Amino acid sequence: MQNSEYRYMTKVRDAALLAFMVLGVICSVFAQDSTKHESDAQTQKEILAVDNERYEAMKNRDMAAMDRLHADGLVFINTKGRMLNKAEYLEEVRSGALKFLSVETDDYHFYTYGDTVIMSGRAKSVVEYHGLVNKKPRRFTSVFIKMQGQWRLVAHQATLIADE
Amino acid sequence: MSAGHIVLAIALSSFLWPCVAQSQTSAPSQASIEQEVLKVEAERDEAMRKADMPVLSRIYADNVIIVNTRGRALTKEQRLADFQSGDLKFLSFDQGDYSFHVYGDTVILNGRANSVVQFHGKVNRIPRKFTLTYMKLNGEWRLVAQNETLMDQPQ
Repeated sequence: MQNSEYRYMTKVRDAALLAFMVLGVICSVFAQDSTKHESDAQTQKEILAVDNERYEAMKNRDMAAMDRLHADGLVFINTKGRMLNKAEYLEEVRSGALKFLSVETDDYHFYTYGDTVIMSGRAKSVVEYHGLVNKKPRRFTSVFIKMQGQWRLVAHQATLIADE
Repeated sequence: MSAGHIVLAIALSSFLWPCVAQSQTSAPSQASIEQEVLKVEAERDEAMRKADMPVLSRIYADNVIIVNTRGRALTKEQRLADFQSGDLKFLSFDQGDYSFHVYGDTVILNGRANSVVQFHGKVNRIPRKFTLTYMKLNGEWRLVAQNETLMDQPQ
């Protein structure tokens, strides 16, 4: 093979290699996007299931489930602006100071960042808190983090909706 | 060495470099993470006072969700528009009583705000509790969620 022919073939091979790599990167980006979409939808289902479990555990005062579903570092801020840690929050449920008379939530928004999920929504649940019944609608933000394979609530805050 | 070999070498090193880099960096301590987040909070405070839109835009994540004391959920665009238009003004800034919970690249920052805020012409001096969720995204701490609740209000 002559020198010029060899150089030509090398150039063609390099161009083909480069084109192949660019195509690979493009395909990989599209595949990742599609996979992320599916995985986010799956994560949302998991979070909703965990949140339902939380409500069930609160209704039934299932303290073992409550303990499993809430992170040890939980910070819970209620509609009165009171900040509770995990022990205080679980004690309110255990003692019956906090009771859910009905559960109604909607208008969910999810933001998934790997193993951290921000869930925002509206609650119209009827809650009895230290003997007072609260039916007012509220907005809440819940932060869930996956720890050792289990989604746990690490932070929750609720605010009364002024205009409803 | 031909261009093909160079391309191949670059491709291989770009795949392997993150593994090498990760093994060389050690995880920052909780105290240093808290300092980093407080520094971003100080920047946000300054930017809110001056309605500095580029800084606010950098600190608020694109998908940030903000629940204000009236229970309204706001997007980044809506919050920035409030600052830009002057509908939201911080007349004084005072917050503290911080508590941090660090979970890797996620930080939960709770605290109490006594700032005097003017929102759509109405001045609010009632103290409030807040939860801020910061996440490190592409090497920068960004606010991904904020929720505020007035304290000791009749239900």
